[in-house]
Amino acid sequence: MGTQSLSARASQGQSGRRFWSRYGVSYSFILPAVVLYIVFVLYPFAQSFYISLTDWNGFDPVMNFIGLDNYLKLLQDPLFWTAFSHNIIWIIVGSIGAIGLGLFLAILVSSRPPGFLIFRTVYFMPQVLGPAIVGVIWLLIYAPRRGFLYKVGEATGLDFLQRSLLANPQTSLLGILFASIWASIGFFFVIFLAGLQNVDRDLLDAARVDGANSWQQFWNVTVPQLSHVITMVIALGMIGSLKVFDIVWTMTQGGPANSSEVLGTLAYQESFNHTHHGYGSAIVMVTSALAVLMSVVFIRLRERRGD
Amino acid sequence: MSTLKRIVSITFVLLVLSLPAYAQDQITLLVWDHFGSVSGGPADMIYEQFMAENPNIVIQREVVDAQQIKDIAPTALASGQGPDLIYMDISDARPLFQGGLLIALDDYAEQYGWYDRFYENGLSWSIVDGQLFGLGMEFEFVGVFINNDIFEREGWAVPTNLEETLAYCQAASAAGYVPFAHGQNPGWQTFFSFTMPLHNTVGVEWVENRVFNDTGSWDDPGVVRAIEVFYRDMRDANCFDPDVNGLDWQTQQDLFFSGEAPLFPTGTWVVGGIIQNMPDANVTMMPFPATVPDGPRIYTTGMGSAWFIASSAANPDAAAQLIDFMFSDFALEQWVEQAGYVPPLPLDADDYELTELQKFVLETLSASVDPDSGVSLGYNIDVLAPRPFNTMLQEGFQAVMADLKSPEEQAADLERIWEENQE
Amino acid sequence: MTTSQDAAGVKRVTSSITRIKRRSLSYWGAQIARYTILLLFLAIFLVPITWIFSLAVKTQAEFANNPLGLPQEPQWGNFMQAWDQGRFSVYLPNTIIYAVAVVIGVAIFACMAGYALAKTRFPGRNVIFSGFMIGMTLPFLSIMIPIFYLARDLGILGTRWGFIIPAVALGLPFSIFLMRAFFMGIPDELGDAARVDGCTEWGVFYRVMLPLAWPGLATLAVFEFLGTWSAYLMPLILTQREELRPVALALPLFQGRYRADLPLIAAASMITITPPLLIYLVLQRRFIEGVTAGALK
Repeated sequence: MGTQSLSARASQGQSGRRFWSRYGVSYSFILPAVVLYIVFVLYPFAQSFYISLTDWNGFDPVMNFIGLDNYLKLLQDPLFWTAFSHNIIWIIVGSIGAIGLGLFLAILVSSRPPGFLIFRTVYFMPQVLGPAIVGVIWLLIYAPRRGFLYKVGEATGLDFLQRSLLANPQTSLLGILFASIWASIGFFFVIFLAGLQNVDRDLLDAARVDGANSWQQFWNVTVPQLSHVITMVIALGMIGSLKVFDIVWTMTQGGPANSSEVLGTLAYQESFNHTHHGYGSAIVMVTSALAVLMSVVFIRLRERRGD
Repeated sequence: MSTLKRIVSITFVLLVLSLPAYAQDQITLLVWDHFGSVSGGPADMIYEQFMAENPNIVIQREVVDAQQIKDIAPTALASGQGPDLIYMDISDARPLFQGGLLIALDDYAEQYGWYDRFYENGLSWSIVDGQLFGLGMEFEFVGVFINNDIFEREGWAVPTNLEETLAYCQAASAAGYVPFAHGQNPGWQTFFSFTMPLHNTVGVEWVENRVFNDTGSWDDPGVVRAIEVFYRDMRDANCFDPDVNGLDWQTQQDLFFSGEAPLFPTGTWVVGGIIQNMPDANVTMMPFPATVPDGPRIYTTGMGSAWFIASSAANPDAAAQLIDFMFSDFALEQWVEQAGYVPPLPLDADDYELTELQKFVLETLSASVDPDSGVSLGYNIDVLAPRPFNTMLQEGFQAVMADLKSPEEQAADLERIWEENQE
Repeated sequence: MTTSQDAAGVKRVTSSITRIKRRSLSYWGAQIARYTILLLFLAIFLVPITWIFSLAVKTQAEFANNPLGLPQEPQWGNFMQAWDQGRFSVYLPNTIIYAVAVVIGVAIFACMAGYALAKTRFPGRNVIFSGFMIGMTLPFLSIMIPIFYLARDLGILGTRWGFIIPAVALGLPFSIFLMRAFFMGIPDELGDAARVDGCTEWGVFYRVMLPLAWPGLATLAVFEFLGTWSAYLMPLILTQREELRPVALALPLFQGRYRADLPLIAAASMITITPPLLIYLVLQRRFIEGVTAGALK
């Protein structure tokens, strides 16, 4: 320290001030958000991680450290793998289904035909209801003996409608997925609608002039232009499919016979019904890790292929 | 002394004498309960009467839905800022007491003479390791409700054993009825579709031995047979709606209230609803049909919710006072007549204005706890079982109903979970 | 419009007309197919909601015997009853307070943070951004219990802030992602020009950038409003006191042990969704603009 020249020491002091004058504004803009986030999100998350290494029951003043036992138990728990497989199905059918249908409907109205405003208003409406209400509505639709589908089946003689999807372990997940897709098509619909507006008309015309039919136009001109939007939308869909809880819990609580169990409902049941908070936390940790992993990998893959 | 001084000193003395009235602190009791649409009214009246009689105690009442209360009670009690007094299910409260969040009530029992007032069988549900941790108010039993009007109209006989039941089911379903208003969504109904046939098949003593004395095993041919009776024999005779796994509690009640289902296998907690929704119908109750030739037909009892005091309560004495008031004559009249509850103490049905059904419930329960009556009732095991066992009842029996699991497998699983969770 | 664009436009219209005249049958066939599908989906989205509404005004007997048809006499009283039993007079104002407070809180913090991340450079920028991104993947269940004890320790448990502050914190990741994307779409030159004119950093942000990022703000407001309105687990565990509860916690009050009143449940559901629905119908252009603009950046 003593061997430094006067000018060096002077510039050190100056760089300190320069640091603050350069970055002070940025930090002050971002500080409140960061503080709030660390205190109310990251710190509790770290605590949850610690809880997953204990056998805590949620209210004892003492937590016993048990290391990775919960994670080992999780890997050997057939119920965990069942729930996980249901989330995978949810990703594939749920988000891809809603995304595909949303895109399809957006294409149908992208030319703003008569009635466009009504279609757009109604298609997006289910989004406004919230997952719990969507669950209640579809519960009443699927209800045995009293539900909408049952009564329609009774009136029209279409017997298959009188079997409630939620009552049969083989179809319960599908039933909930229909409700979820019903609620989320609107979201993807409006996103793709706007995306389609931005597609370069000249390119499309050029393709048409070159003799491409509608399908080819769509696949070779429209889709690449929507690439960035599609990537983002699928990533959001994947994350949402892993986090799903409210709608499943409202409709079946994971039943019957665990046929609609997902990671979220399993974690809730273990944590609250069975007061195995440590184990429930472990499940949630794994879910979060999967969400991060899947979205990062997926986005990286698309970036490498696309741009 | 001058007149002025005399006046001043008298005023001063009077003031001092009146101080105790001001010095008496106001106590606030925070109470969580789940008294809803039927029992909410009586509850309000009882709270108000208590406050009228005890002006220094203010009751702050929070209504929490029964499903939610078991999720948020543990953290609320652990936070130290939760309720002082809580009314919830015993099976959910037991681990909380064992975890130190609720206090033992033995001292208060002595003080208020509860051991003398209440039936021993009524108190035993909320005793663990010799300590009383709650005072139950809803003594209930489970059987089968009968809409006699339908049986009369159709010219059927009410079934008394398995053979008659299967025949009844075939006839009723052919006539367009749902023979039994049973549902398995979300699944707690399976607690009773298991215990009823179980008691009729293996007898009360066997169940007592398994639950209290740790003898025997759930993985037993008698248990398997009991499961078969309901989940194979009755199912295959069309006793239930084909979508029974998806049929929820609301729809079950609706089926019975609207006359679409002549029989309703459930507990006395629906009596209030029956009175409200089908006041003119001729409804009676019977135990589950006999499952073995000349076998017993047993009502199974349990205690629903009970009163508990938090260990973080600032004034447990006041809380205990309120609990005792809940069983005063004034309160009892409200609970029995308006809400249809049967608290576990000696009640004379003639003291109250009751419907036939209510009288029957009261008299049956009274007889059951009277050692001289010769009536023995069974046990709602779910109140005494560890929670994962109850989850296995729900999920396992949904699977059994759907042919995803055999009765043998379910019996084995039940034994395994029971053993795994014994402390 | 330049003349070449004029010419191209005329050419397009003429060729369209020729095409319409030529492709008569297959064109109209396609139109019919298109509208059939569009109308089918219109029905799929509308029917469940209108059915629930019709359910809400039926008597219980009507529901059992005639669930599909129109009600004989609309039971408007069901709404009154649902209002009372669901304690909506307390829960509804709470929900409005929460939704507005959370939207304002998230808007302020996310705009500032998004701007800093998009338009300025500073050490740790990428780390901080990645840190926020991880937050988007976390389910509330993962922090539910720790947040409860944290709120207690901070003394906000059992108060409105006990729900508002954590809700704002949880809304930050997605909103920051959104605002950052929006700000990145605004040319830097505008900011530079303002700075040259003597504007402070804050002035650049407040007077130049923020007004241009208005659609992003609209998106943010939409999502946070809807999300807060339908939040269930968070308020369940954090509000504690009944007088602080939002409407999402009202529905379970109807699935009680004694009543099997399905029309009442339908009525309660209707009350719960009416405010967001009304706001949506009035402001729907904003809603949709917000969502789409946000997604495209």
